[in-house]
Amino acid sequence: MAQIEKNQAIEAENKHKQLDRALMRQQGRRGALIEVLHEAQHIFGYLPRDILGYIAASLQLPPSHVFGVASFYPSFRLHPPAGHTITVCMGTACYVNGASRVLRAAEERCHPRAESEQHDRIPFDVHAVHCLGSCGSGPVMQVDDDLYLHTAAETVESALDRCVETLRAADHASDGTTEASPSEEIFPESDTTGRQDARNNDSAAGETDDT
Amino acid sequence: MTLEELYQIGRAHRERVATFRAEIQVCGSGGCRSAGSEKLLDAFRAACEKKKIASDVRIITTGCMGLCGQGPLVRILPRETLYAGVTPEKAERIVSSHIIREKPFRSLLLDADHPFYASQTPIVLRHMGRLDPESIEDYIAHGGYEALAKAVTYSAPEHVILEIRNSGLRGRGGGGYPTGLKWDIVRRGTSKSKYVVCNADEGDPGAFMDRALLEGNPHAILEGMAIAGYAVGAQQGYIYTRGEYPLAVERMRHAIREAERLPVIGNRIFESGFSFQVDLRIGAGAFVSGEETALLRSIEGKRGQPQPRPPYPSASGLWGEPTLVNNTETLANVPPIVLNGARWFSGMGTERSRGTKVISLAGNLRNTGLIEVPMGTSLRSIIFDIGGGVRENRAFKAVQTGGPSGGCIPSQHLDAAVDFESLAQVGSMMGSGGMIVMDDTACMVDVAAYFMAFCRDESCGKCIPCRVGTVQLYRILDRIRRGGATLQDLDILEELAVMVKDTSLCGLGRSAPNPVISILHYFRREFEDHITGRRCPAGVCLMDNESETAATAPLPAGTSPQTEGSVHE
Repeated sequence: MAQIEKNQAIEAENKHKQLDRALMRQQGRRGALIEVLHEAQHIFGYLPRDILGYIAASLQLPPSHVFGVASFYPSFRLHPPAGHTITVCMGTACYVNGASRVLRAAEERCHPRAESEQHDRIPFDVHAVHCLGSCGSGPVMQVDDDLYLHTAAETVESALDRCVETLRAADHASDGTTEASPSEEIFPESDTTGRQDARNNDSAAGETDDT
Repeated sequence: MTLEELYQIGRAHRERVATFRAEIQVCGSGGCRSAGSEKLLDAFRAACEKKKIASDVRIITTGCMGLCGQGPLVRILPRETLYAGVTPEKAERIVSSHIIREKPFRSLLLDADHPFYASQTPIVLRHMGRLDPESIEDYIAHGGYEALAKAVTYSAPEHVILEIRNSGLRGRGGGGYPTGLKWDIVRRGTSKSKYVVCNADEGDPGAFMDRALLEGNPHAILEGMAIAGYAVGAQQGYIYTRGEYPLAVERMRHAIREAERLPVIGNRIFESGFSFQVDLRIGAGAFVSGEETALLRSIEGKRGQPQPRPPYPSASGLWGEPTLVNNTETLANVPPIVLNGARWFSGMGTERSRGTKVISLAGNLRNTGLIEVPMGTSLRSIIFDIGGGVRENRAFKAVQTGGPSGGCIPSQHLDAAVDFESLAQVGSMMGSGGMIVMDDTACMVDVAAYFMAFCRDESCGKCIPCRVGTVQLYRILDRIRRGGATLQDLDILEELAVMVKDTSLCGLGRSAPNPVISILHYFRREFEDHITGRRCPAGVCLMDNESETAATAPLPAGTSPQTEGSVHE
């Protein structure tokens, strides 16, 4: 137990060091706040309150300004993400090709209403976004960083089952040190361990207590 | 770096490429990549290895090849051939057939005069899908940075601006403002520090031309920006793009690094007195940040909310300095104009809309993807010739242009020309060039509600007409959709739409009612069917049993949960 706590402390310290490096890189650059927030979210998986305060102090900005910016932009998360994320594109092209049926199917699969199916629920956040920019191949669905093209309500369920299997296997196989697939990384220079850890813990919790 | 050295790099690269026996180009743009083109790259490498020709074959990842709906696409040279829907299993057979036996692999072959490509005029897309976006040498070998070198070496800034003015180039982001005129205004600003901003915050759902350009030919944008910087007297450029486009961000970052390394941007470009730096800024999911004043606030690290104009950014933009804001496609048009001259460019297109337009073609179509056609091409020709007509032989119902700021055009206007004025005449707009075709399974009331939900979610909340008006407009549309509205609601809808249009602060609010107005104009029958007949002719909308429930019904799925969740804490 003590070992785990110690590891967590080391990890938290590493994340702070990463953030400090990011702040250093942005030093003296005008209008760096949004870049710093992007990096902070990448490091911590979301933007914790105390980190926002720390960023405000470091950049010599009023905390209200930092919080105002963080809460204005939809991409910034102020709460820890819950395990894996399914993003269904609701751009016009996907929409006219039946994206709302795909969204409904995904929600049904991940958060079934019926009591009897609760044991079967998948610890996924389901989001709708306005456009993923793959309009020629809609409807498009994204599971974490992987894009699925030409989806249909009928095939969502089996597709989800397949990727749940893969993700669960990957989560079990990794003991917190495996890196996420870097193909879609926005910030290739910083490492991704932190975010992957958060995911692993969350999805493991989701599997055991199944609330 | 001098012009001669630039030519030297291009020559050396061309000579090196010419030593290969064949070249395999695998489309690496977002769509094809998710369809598995990365695995394809490995498969082709392995196949060449196996056939013992690995050192004779150049294998590269390229930008978008256009026909996204049939990806992954692969082009093989010599005897230029395009293959569609290529799978890793087929790689070896393609290699042995095309490269070794010198016979095209028939089953995946895309016809050389496929109608999708036959009637296009690629200018902005001329190198797309043909060069490696991660190799600056490849771009230079295709004539890249020559326009910049010539401009800073031989032309005065005023002459560059004159050339752009004479070309008749107009802003491709939707506004259609004459580019040369805007450059001239910024040029005449007396401030020492000026900025050039590339607006690549492509938020319109259904539009992906900026993404494709950033991913497929990032150096063309950098070159266009540097020429613009030289012309207006700016030393700093910013590219502002979406965080939702990670590959575009990665490629652009790489391109900036390479351009600085060579150097073709940086201090004293091509040994002239002109210096220019470029920085990349990444948005965070706010659609309204694509509005130019909001975008500038976002670059400054603030909330991306619009400000009243005037002052226009060309007078007072980033940090209060004169700032040139141009769309990605506009900037990508600049190098070819500088190289080939204004007369060449103005020879294409129509009287008032010169040149070409890149269009992302999507929806219920046979061929979907990225195209470029001369301005003035008819909608019919784009949809039925290039797009191959409506999928599954269904009936064409409408084409949506201009995104959430545009409108829906019905079949009686299919002969309308695609240019700034003609599309406005039929109640829509060019916008950034997204075109979504809908067949008879689409319910136009539902589509109107969809766009209004979009604008409601994306309203920044600064001005009341937009913040409150879009919510009210959506509620009425939703009531109609659920069969709980009266004909009087239709009058209120029209009245409110005009009010929001007239009184909102920025382009988002001022254009938010456009889809509703155009749909109401052309498809009023469908609204009446929902209201008086309580039925949806297309069978999309589900009618409520009790009309009263509509007013209090929860928002439908598909409205952005992040927007709502993140504002309240």
